[in-house]
Amino acid sequence: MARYGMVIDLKKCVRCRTCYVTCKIFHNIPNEFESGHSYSRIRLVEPEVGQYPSVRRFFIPVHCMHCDNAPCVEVCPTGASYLAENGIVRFDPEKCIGCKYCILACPYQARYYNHETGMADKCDFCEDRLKAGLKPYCVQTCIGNAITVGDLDDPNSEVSQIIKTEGAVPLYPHLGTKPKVYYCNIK
Amino acid sequence: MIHVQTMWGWPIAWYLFLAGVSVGTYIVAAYCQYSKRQDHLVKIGIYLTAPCLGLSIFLLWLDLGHRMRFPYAFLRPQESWISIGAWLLTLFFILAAFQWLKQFFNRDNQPGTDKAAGWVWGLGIILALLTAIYTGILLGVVQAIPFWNTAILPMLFLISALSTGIGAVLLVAVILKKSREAVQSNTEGFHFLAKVDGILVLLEIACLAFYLIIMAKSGVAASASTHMITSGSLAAAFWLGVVVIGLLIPFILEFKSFKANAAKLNVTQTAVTGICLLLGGLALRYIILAAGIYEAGSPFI
Repeated sequence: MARYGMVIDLKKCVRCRTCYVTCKIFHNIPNEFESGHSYSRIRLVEPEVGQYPSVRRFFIPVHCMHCDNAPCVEVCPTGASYLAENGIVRFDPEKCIGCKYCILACPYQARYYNHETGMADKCDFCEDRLKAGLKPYCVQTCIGNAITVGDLDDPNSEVSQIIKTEGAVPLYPHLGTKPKVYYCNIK
Repeated sequence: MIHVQTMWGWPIAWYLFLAGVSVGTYIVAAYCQYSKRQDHLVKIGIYLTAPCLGLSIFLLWLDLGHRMRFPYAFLRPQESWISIGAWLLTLFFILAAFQWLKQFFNRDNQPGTDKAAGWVWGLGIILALLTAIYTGILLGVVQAIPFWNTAILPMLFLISALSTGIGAVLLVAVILKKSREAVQSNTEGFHFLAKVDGILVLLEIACLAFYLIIMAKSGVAASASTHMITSGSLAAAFWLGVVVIGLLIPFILEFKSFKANAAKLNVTQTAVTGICLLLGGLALRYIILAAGIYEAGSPFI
């Protein structure tokens, strides 16, 4: 059984936001002009670091980290969020009561409250597409080929190789959440 | 970059507050029952507990995205504090409602003094204290929001719960004419409650001070939360609502009653104390929720 993970090379990212938009379109996430809420399963973080004249602006697409030790799974009162065998933190829309506790618990703020469905939606690495042998929408459409998804347990998989050679790191490893999304060239 | 949580707002603040009030009123009733001196206060405590708790559960339910699926909330008490809370609130509500009904249909009788009733009270006290502590742990276990992720929160909420409960009982006891007469005929227990609350308010001031002093030095996010409360957008709600109205005014008024002639009852002063305690308790829950800032660190700063 594969244990899916992701690696994002920030040097290859051209900040076009295509991942955000395709994700939003294909997962039927409410349109911000109509709903008034701006969200997607991918959160684009643009922190500014430093002061003039030495200012840097980062651009980081934040997916669900599919933590092996996921805080959202731990706090969910119903079991709607759970860690599947293939390493994906799944979300069962039949069981969510919309208490929003998982949204508070996720240090990556990877989950959002969908006001139309009344549920806390999240990225699932486009599991249906992975099963069909396709790439997730964000990977498929990334114009810089910056995002790679694959099996972290297989040392020869593309994702494992990139993590190894590029020295990719996860976000907030100190929290002990064991995230499975890695970033290259983050500094 | 600072990210403030916006998921839990006023409905949850009211829910935490009312759950706390119901715990306080229940403990007051239980104490007065145990001391066997203040039957009218037992009655007020019992009559307040179930409605406050019911209203708090109703608000929690209203805040759900899928209200009709609420039974699922009971499924994972081994890990989720929402589930643990659902069980605690339900059990405490069943017990409080039972005592409310018993009181209502037995108006002339003394509230139960037999052995079975003693067990009910004992169980009720445990459930009440656990409920108040749970409201603090619910926020305390959220590692992603460092300002909440502290052991003092359950303690602070427990103290505030007892204090707001005393406030509610004091207020109702002097508002209702019949109970005001009962209080005036025997002010001893009443002044005792005011004194206990004076001590609780002192403890609350200490807890709150330790909480903010330590959080101001606990990393980027927690110190941003602290500054939001002490000098930022929540400063007015904090200094006016929590400190002045919720703590200083009640403490000064209660300090007076330490000295006051035990035979006298100052109706206005007591009513003001009660209202201030309640407003302060609500403001405390709200500012803590509203200052929930997510963990920040490289590269999210």
